[in-house]
Amino acid sequence: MTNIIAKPTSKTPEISFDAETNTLRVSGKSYPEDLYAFWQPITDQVQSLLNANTAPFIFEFKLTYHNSGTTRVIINFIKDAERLLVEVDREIRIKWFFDPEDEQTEEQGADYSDLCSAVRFEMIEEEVS
Amino acid sequence: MENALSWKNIAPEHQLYSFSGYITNRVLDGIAAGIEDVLAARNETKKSYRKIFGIFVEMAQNIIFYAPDRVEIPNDEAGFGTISILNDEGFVRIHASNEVLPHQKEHLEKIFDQIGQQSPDEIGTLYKQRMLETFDDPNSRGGGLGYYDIARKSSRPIEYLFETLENGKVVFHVSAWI
Repeated sequence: MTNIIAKPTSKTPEISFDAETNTLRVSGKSYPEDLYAFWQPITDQVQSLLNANTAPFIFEFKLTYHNSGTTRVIINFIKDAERLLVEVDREIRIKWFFDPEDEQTEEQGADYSDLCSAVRFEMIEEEVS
Repeated sequence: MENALSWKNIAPEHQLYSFSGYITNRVLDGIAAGIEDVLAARNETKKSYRKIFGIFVEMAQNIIFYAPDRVEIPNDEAGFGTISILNDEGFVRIHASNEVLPHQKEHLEKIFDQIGQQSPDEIGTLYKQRMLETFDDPNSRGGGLGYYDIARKSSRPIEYLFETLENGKVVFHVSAWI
């Protein structure tokens, strides 16, 4: 069953959690006017979901644009996941989707990939509307 | 009519968009999607529109969040500045200007001294370094990635200028090209 955590707006993404596959999905654009107000509750919820069990956890990102503030949020997701994997033996994966025409999102994915060691980061080329 | 703006300077061959005034989040909401759609549809910008849009939003949000000339409004915020998307010798130029306070000028000077006239490869390395600093510092919530990201995306070295006005105020101008 998929729960919608945040509905999409023109500047914030849709965020949902699929409990069957332990997958958090983030899609759309992210440039909220108040980064903290939008993302902190999401980050808190992700922490709870990660701590709920030790089953494999997947982050799926299909972002067509995200601002530098959101970059910091994603860096912190990776940081927190890497820290958790030092203590617990489990699998955390990030699937980074990018449109083949979207060099910007592809490049950003490569940057995030470089930050991951224990977290498995996958770049997936897919047309994103 | 006296002092009409010359069409040459505001026609789409020169200027795609220009906004001057108190920019709010609702203003950005109102114009961003439309601007992206137009850039995506124009032959000249349909391959590059994502980078143009990204830089445009980053610069507009800097004005909304940080420009010191502000108006208090309910449920939103307003900072005064200008932001333009221009045709410039085969490139698209995204330009922003806003007043800055002394501590903001000092902060920007540190960033732009680092960015300087570095090559695109060097900027890419600098950006990754800044990302790693954000990643490695347990207390860091980030900061200052925006201009490094703009510099990395820009097809030419980004340019900036601090202009001191007669009244002593300082205006920060910045341009990036795609």
